[in-house]
Amino acid sequence: MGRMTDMFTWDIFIWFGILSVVLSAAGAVASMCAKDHWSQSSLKYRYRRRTAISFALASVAVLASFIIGLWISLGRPPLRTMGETRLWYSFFALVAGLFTYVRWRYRWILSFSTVLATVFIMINIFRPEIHDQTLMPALQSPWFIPHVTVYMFSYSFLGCAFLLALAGLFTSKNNVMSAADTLVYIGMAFLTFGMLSGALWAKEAWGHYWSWDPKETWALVTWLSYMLYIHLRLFGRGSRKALCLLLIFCFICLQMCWWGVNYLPAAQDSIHVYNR
Amino acid sequence: MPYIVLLIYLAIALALQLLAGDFPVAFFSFPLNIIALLLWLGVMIWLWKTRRKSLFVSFMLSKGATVCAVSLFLIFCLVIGLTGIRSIVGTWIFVAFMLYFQTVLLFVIMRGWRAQTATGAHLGEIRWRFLLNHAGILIAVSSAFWGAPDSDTVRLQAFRDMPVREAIRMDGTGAWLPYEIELKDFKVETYENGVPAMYEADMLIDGEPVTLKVNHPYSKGFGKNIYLTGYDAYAGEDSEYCVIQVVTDPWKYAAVAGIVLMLAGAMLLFAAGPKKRYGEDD
Repeated sequence: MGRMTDMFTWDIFIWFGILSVVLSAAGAVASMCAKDHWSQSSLKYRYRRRTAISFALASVAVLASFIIGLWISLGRPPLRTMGETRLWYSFFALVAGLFTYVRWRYRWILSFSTVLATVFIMINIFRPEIHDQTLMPALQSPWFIPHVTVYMFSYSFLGCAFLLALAGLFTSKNNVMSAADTLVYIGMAFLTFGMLSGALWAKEAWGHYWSWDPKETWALVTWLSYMLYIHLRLFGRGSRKALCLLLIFCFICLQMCWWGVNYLPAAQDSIHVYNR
Repeated sequence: MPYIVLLIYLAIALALQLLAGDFPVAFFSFPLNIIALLLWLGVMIWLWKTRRKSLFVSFMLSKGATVCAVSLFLIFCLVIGLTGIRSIVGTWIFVAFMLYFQTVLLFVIMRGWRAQTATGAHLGEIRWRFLLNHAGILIAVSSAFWGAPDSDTVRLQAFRDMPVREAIRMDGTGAWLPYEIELKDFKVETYENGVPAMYEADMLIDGEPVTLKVNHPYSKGFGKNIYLTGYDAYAGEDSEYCVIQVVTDPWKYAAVAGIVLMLAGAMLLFAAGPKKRYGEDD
């Protein structure tokens, strides 16, 4: 048994990573093939949907088995290094994509979660030297993983809303705005989880829920700009073009919060320095 | 017309800022902040009950007032984010804006927490998602706003086997703790490359033996928490002192309540998604 578990090191991750990406991509293709205008009770729709879900489940299972194996072989939860964190990102991206597909049947969502997971799996395969990067004491908290993963999940949905808004500027396809609404609501829910988990964690680590740190301020800017979009939509205000431009502005704010603050002269005293 | 009044209101706050400097936060410490809060709540609820058709109430309930509230908040945050000047939150104009923001929220909640008939009588069911999201924000923001005068953050250097009481605030003024803090032992674990992985301090706080660690503050009674924030990094484990932060925030329980409501509201935002719109673009 001991020899079995010692196998689970980063050296063999490449096989798990590739297998997981291939399975997830197969699921994404199958889900894209189940067209929206088909009857949901038709045999071909149900067959392709079931195929998509099976592939996506298998993909999640492959990554999960690597995480469990790594956990046992390390003798501690694999939550410490940046590489281990990225492993969880990719895992959660696949889980979230599958969950959303099962729940709402958006056929593009599996492609999207596949791309997101692939990016993080690829970084772990091609940049193995950063696996040993250390975590400063403030980051060693049960809040770390949920705080960052919900943000990553949220960013992925809002990124998709941004792409739709770009498309909405140039096309006049009918359902762009309502699809954007759905993405914004999901993204906004997770943005709220991220911001509030951050506030609760900040109280534990630094003593205050909110201290107008540059990262916090830009997180609030992002949150408020999407809040403005949601209210304008509820009120039926704003032309379609203006709303698309607002969504693009929102996403620029999000980029500012995610990595832009690191380059902002006014933000050089941020206490969120560990992600530089 | 109401927008002009809103502008004048903010302009007066700006004028006060220029004439009198920052808002006198400390003046409103307990119990004055509670009295002001109850007064504000009372007047607003009275206006809602008896003057619903007034220009004031109908403006606060208008779509424009909400859009103004969110947009102005966004602009304030953008200014803080781009300039890095955090002290903006202590100015008259920001305080005046936050009062406006809370007033809009309060009226919107009073009107919308239950579904309504055309006559305005409260008949319908409770709109949970709306209520959780809006009340959550109002409670979280209000606890920060009205609680600010009662919150206090002090830091001190605790030396080995040398009880201390004197601390210092962020603005440089001194403070005395009603109990003594003393460092007994200090441990640092480092990674192979010398980066600290974990540090903890065995302290004697008010006669109690306490182990402080980053992310593990010690609760010293109602609304008070004690944090380990630093040590002599050059000396490492031989550090002769550690830096202790004592935070007093009796309103933190209200803040947590607001945050919990918002979290529940966000879950419903995810679960139910946007409202179906008919006859618009789909």
